[in-house]
Amino acid sequence: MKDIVFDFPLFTIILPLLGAVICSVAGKKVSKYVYFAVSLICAALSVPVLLYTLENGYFTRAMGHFAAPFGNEIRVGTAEVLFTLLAVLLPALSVLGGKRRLMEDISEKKINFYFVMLCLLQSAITALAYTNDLFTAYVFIEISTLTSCGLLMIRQIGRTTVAAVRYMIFNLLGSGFVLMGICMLYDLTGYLSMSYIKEAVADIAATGKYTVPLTAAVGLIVIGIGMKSGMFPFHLWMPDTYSTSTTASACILSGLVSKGYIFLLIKIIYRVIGFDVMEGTGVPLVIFVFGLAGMIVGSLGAIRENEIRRMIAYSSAAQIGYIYMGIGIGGPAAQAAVAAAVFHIFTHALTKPLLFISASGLSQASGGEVKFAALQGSAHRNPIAGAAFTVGALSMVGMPGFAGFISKLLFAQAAVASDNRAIITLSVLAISTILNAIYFLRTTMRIYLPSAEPRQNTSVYKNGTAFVFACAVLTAFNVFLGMHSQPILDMINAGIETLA
Amino acid sequence: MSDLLLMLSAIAVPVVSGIAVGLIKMNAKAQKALVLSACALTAVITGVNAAADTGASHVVLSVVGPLELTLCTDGVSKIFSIIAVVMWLLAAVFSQSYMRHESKDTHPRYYAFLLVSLGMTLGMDFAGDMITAYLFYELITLTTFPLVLHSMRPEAIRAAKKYLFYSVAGGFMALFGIFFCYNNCSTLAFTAGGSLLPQGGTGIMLVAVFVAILGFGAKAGSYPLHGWLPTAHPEAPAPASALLSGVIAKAGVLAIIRIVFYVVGADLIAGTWVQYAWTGVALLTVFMGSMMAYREKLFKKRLAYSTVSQISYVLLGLSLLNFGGVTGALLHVIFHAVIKCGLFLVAGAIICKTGLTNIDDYTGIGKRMPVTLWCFTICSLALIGIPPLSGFVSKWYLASASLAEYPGALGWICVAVLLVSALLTAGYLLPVTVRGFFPGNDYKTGERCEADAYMLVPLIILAVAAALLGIFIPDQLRSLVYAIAGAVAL
Amino acid sequence: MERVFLLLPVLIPVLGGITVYFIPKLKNRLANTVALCAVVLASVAAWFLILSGEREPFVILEMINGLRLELSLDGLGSFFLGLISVLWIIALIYAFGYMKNHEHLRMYFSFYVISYGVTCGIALAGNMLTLFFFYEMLTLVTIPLVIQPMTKLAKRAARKYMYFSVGGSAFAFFGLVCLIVCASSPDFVPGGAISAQTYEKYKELLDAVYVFTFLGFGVKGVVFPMCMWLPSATVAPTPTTALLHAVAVVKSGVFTIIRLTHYSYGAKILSGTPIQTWLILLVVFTILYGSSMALRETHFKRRLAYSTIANLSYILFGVLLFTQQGLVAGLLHFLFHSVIKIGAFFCAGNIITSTGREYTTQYKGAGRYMPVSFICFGICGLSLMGLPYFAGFVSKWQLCVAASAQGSAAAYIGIAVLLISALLTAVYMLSIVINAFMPCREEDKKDFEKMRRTDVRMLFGAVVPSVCAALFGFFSSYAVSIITECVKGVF
Repeated sequence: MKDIVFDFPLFTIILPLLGAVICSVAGKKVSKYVYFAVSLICAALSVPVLLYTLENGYFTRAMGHFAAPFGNEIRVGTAEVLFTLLAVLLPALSVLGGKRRLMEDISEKKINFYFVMLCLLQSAITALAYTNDLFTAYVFIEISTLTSCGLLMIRQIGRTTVAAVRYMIFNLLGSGFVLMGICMLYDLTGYLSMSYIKEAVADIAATGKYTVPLTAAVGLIVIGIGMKSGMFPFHLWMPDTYSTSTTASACILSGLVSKGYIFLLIKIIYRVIGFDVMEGTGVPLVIFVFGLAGMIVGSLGAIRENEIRRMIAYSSAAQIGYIYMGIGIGGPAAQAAVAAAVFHIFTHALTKPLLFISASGLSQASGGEVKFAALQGSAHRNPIAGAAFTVGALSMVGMPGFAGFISKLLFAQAAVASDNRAIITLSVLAISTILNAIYFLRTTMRIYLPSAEPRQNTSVYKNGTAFVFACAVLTAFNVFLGMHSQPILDMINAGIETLA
Repeated sequence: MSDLLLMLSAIAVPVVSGIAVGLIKMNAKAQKALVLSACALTAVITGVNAAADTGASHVVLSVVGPLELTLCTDGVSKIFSIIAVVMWLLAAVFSQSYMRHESKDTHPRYYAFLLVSLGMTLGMDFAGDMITAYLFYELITLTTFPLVLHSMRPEAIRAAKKYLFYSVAGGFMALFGIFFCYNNCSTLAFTAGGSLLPQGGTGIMLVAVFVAILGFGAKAGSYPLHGWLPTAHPEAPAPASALLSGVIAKAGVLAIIRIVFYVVGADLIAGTWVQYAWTGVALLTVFMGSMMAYREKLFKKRLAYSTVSQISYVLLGLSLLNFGGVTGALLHVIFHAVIKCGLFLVAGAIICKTGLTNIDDYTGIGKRMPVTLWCFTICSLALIGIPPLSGFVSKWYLASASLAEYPGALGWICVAVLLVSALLTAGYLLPVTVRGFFPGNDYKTGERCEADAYMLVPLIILAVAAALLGIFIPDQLRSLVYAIAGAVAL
Repeated sequence: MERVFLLLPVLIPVLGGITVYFIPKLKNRLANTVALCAVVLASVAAWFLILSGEREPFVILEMINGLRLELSLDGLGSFFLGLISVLWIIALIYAFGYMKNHEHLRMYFSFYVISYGVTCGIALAGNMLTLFFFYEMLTLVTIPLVIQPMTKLAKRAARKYMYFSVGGSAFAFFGLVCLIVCASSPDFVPGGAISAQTYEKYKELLDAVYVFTFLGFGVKGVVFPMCMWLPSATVAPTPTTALLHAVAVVKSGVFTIIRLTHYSYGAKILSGTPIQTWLILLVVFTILYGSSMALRETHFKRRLAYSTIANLSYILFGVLLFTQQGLVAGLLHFLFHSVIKIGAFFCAGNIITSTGREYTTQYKGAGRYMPVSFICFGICGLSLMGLPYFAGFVSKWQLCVAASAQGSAAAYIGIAVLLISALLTAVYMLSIVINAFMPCREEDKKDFEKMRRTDVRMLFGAVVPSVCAALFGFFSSYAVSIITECVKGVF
């Protein structure tokens, strides 16, 4: 019985692929059900894997007939499984929350195509989480890029197409850099399998001969992934992309896809290069600084925005900055900081979709408008969306009781423990909190204050059940993470220890 | 115990009757009866209390730590309380006639605050420790300033606010000093000679005492916080001005006496810069007050400046810290109270009967109101210091004490200032008499409009007292003053 | 006794407030009754807890890394809890009278009651994390109270309040984290929870963090320059400003600073450091600033707001002396100022409502028509300025005594400033009363004669605290001994 657990991860990669094939020929309704079925099954499969890894640590599985280092393999640890669970559940919830918009934005004939993209994306992200081979990682990076572009472009308005093209350009550039980095690493070490590369890199770093190429390789990979995930200064594609796509796509892209890339980066740092060697190259410092800058610049951009979705998009840039700051902080508290970053991945992945979904609910109750002037008082027209938005906003600001507060606390504790970077990290954390508060609380107040002019119909907007369900579940997760996060944190810590 | 009851009732009777007059509607007769009987009763109670021979202090209320409400009757209390009740009674009698020319609906307010402030003044006189004295000091300010405000003219309102501000500011300066006394003296209760702790003689303590002297001096019209007095005293109705100048200004003096002699002790400041500075300030005020009075044309304002000057005589005497100085000061307190009351009541009579306020208009007034002007003349002569009238006695003490205390040039400066001031006093008081009785040939006689009995009787009493008190000081009073001076002076 | 009872003063008002929100629009009486019952019940529960003595802390939930949300009741907490539980009832009764004809009543009263629960949470917080949690909640639940008039000014004032508060919390967050890392115990320990060795090791960091946290919490505790939100917040209806200024928000700020200073850091560590001197000077400057601005301000409620800024720094002055006397004196002023200021604001509310005028220059002669309110305001003014034996005098005296006992130069500067401020207080409080009893202008006579009689609930709210403002001074030895008992163990 135990052995079958070893195969579950592979199933969770392959099953969505199958699902994609089915969806491509099925009609609207069938493809929807197929997709949800696939998600549920993958989630169900991942749970026993999680329990297994909690007890026994990680395990590896060879793909194909050749063993590593020449064949392909996947490696399954606690952190990876947790991320997979996220990757499986989040798109489902996003689709539920954005279902009404989805049906309106996409033409009937193309809806099954959407689910094809979704299944492929899910498979790709899961693979990114599990893979232990660099080139496989690259392949799935490409697949996720293409499918996410598909998720964007499926809404056929002019602005969306422009945004999607811009997204594609950034992402392809990023992928290009990643590929160059991978090639250089292969050149230097002769391996493509992660754990083997690590030993080789350690040897190389010890000799001190190839420092420049090594730094270049690492730098290219970091920049590449940074471009794809929205690290400062490559975050400029985010506002257009997230504001013009359909709600579900925005949720998935901001909540999951960028995080997938970041998770891969963490894996590469720890499992491919090794953190000590990284520190030697000086790249973590760059990541740290860009993270700090992103925190501030993202929030500043959000304050200036006049539309709710663009504001939330800029907020994403800021939150990604938090995560990069945690990754780059290094020093004696490196592990705690990375744990904080991973925790924040989860927090943000659960909160951002909540914000996007509730924002779309509010704007639908206001006649489809997205500007703030039109949204004044919309919380009274759509109370559930208003409440959900408030929860999301409070979590982002870091109100105790919500997940965001725990993230902040973990970051701050890690910062205090790191000697020389404590003050600046804490200061930027404080400033960023203030900035977050400015735009989030201002918006929350706006949606609750009754508007000056009386509106024609003051009836309450009726939400679909899927919408209410998605809001409720996301809120519940958020509050649960805020109040009872110790188990998750333990799992993350255990996962990170075995990541290397 | 009985003296506590006497003191409490002496305070309570005027306060309660004042509230009654203010709040209950009554006709003129009832009002007159209530006011006069309240004053008389208070006078009797105070007299009995003064005659009794205790000095014990009683704690009425213990608030927290050293903060207590205590009352006691010692020598100083007796003097000040008797002055207060006598002057108040005479003023109340005078008011019956004076207030007829003010509108009826202002009467209750006037009498109410008149009576309540008597209670507060007695409270201050009977205070047994510095905080109680400070409490009543502030209450006196609060209950007398409505008297300044009485006419509700814009000038009166401004004057009243100025009074309030200066007094309260002075009060807080004094509180600063009191606070340091609390730290450096074994107790804030009044003990003759003070209760300074051995380690308490520090520089900052001197500063604190000086600040307290200046602060309390605000009510006494001493430089530099004197600016309110010439504006405020004239604005009140004349009987109230008489009390303000004659008695209430002495509250400031009493406070200074208490803090210097009964809390800190004269030893602390003797010979230090504080004593010199205090004397200097007093001399400056004496001179300046007389000078300003000489130049002032409005009668009541002239008298107010005169108060500024005369009270600083008292402060000069106190600053000498020796037996003669204290004696002279206390005697001048009594004599000035009598004289200044008399002078202000004369002013009131003249204004009431003729409506004239400017000195230049007083030519020939003696023909119209001879008795009044005779009283004025007697009081003036007493104030100038013509022997054997009362003013002379106190000034003699002051002059000889200043020579004794400051053997060098300063002593002679004091005497010189006293002389110059006396000359100036003559200069600002006598012309009224002279021109009043000898108007010159161009004068057309107006009709006689002598003041009525209610006004004349107090005036005559005061004039006679001003004349005779100097020579015929009652033995008890003399021995009381000597006892006090002996106990506290160096 | 049962630990879960600690939850009652927090839970009853919150639930009651939520219930009030959902009562249908026309049943005002019912809503008022529910609100009053919730508050009274919670106060009864609070006093029951205070009087029944020691009990174990109650853990609401475990968060991460051993951090807990926990309620417990110690001396300082009982002091604060006792004070607010009495004053909230008076304030609520006043609010019923005041808000009679206003709008958005459901929202207003529900949040009024909920904020009572949250403030009880602050008093009952057993560690800094819980305190921070309720502190943040307090900001959120008081914003609707400020914004109630729904005018442009109100919205701007609410935004300003919110930005300042969250800004302050962001900096105070430092303190929270540092305490979590450095303190020997996560709970509040009288006398401080950071050991001397830990302090030596992290000295610069802890010092810097203390200052930031002090300033962060100083937003609610209205220390200059973070006090700027308070005067604008007076556009809120009077029951809000009275509560904000006297009881809930600003006193919570000071309460939190006391927790930070004496129960987390501790006098042993901080006493005698340059930080103490600088913070005392800042606080003294705030006293001067508040008193002078109050003098210049002619808007009635804003004047009282500046007065609050000054008076709260009196309390902080006492706390920062780091002596037992200083802390007791500061807490005495905490108690007395609450009573005085709530009385003053209620009188002001009566005056503003009846006359319809908001500026102190417009009340000439109004005293004849509203004697009770003006006289009560005068009593509050006399007490605040420091007429001997009124409450304000006793607390100021005790502060001066404590300062001179502590003896540092900064303390003496504080004494001088206290006296100057007392003078300014006399002027800005009493001038209003004096003007009121002047003869009124001709053009105002008709307006004043047409004034409605003040609602009896509003009169009640004005008279009771004013009388206490006068009389409490006489019971101060009793108060001092209770407070000393409350803070025993801190030194």
